[in-house]
Amino acid sequence: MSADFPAIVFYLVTGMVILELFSGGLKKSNLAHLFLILRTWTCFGGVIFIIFSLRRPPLFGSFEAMVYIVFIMGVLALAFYKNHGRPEYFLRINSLVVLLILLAQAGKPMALNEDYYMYSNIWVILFFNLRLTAAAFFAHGAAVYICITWTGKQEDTLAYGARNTLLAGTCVYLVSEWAGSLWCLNWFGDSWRWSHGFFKASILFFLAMAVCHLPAVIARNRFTRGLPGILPGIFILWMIFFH
Amino acid sequence: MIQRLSSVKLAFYNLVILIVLMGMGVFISPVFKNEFTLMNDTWFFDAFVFACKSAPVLAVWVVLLCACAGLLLVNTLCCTLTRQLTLAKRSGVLKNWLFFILHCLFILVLACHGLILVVGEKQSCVTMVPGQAMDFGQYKIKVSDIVFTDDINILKAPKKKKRALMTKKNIRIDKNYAMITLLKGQVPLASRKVMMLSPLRYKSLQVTLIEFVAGNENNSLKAKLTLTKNGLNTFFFMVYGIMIVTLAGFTAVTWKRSGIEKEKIDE
Repeated sequence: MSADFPAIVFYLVTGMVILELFSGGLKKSNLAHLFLILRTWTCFGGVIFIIFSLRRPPLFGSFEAMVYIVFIMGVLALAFYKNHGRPEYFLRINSLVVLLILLAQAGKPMALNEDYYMYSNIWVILFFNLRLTAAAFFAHGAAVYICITWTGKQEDTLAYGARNTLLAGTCVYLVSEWAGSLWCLNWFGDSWRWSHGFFKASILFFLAMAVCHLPAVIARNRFTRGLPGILPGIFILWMIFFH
Repeated sequence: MIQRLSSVKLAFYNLVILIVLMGMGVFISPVFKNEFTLMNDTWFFDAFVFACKSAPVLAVWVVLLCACAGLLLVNTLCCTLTRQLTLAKRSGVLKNWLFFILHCLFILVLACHGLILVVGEKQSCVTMVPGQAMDFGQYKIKVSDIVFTDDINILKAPKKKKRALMTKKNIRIDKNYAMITLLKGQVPLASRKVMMLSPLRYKSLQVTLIEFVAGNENNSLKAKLTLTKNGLNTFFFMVYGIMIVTLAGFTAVTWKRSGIEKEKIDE
């Protein structure tokens, strides 16, 4: 049973997200909202399963990443969807982003991985877990920024919500990087090293910074204002699932 | 001039160039693996001189990256001291002061990132056996014992297989250690079991156990150590931490849009 549990969680969540999208398409917002609650609880079950099986929070591997990111995104959507302009638009786009994350997991092993011996260290746990949490914030933010570029309705309310999510995600991400620097110091004696991991981590931080420093000429236009905000979400998901 | 250097436009386009350069770094790091290892393991300028001769492309990339990071520092400094300080002083509002402090701390973090490369002393990947001692500046580091209680064959496995075998079940991080003593002349200053991820620290000096190495003889063991002396580390982590707290504070304070901003948008 426990070996099949990850696959069961994956298919249940995928089914609920598809139903969410259908209900949204049929303009049945309450039903879509109900499926959002159900998929968040299902993911929560997956997170609890990981914690009990491995005696640590979700850290790495595509299955753990998928369950945890979708869970946090669900919590964020439930907590803030009313702040994001017209909720029905936001919920539909949010479900679409979640569906893309689920597609990234499709075809990959639905199992938990054996831990590398360092993964019991507190700084390592903080680094990996908070990186996944930050990914959920950035992906949630990406959904809001897509709303800005796509719908154009209540653009300023959306932009402010997106800005809040991006800043909160950056805080979480920086705590993860801070813990990662300590891990690096304890492992190699340096707080950072020339490595592709460091370059990728820096790209993400610079992307978030760039969104917060848009020149007036770019910020004035709906499309050019929204598009850069989508990039941190896309980049961190690519980092986690494909690189 | 100062106005141009403090502009948001400059910050944005400089960040875009930095993103591109970092992106190039992701793809060139496997190509120049040896050069990057050298840059990590030796003093930065020595590695850079070597890179200039063996890999000019890498040297150009490093110069561009450092130049852009330097420009980001100057840009932030100018913007912070001219615009943000004035705004904070004039308004006296908490969010503006937090914004100003956040940028000041970012300048320090960025500067520390660069300075850590060039200050202090470092000796990487020193392999030592029990009973061996070596000098490091005015100090002496002595390895009195190496204990590895898990299966030593894991250490002998090829790199990829070794990575797969080194699981939490197979390697107990707290059971394997090197007993290390730090001396100044003949006076012992500190002595402790140095485990993986648990280095010996004395003031700004750090003795880090990078890995255990299985010797050729019957189950003989060596410890691969890195010795560093860098007074900036503590300051860097402290400033970095305070910067994150300030960012969190700024985010919390500005979470709800103020009435004035709402009115402006409505207009």
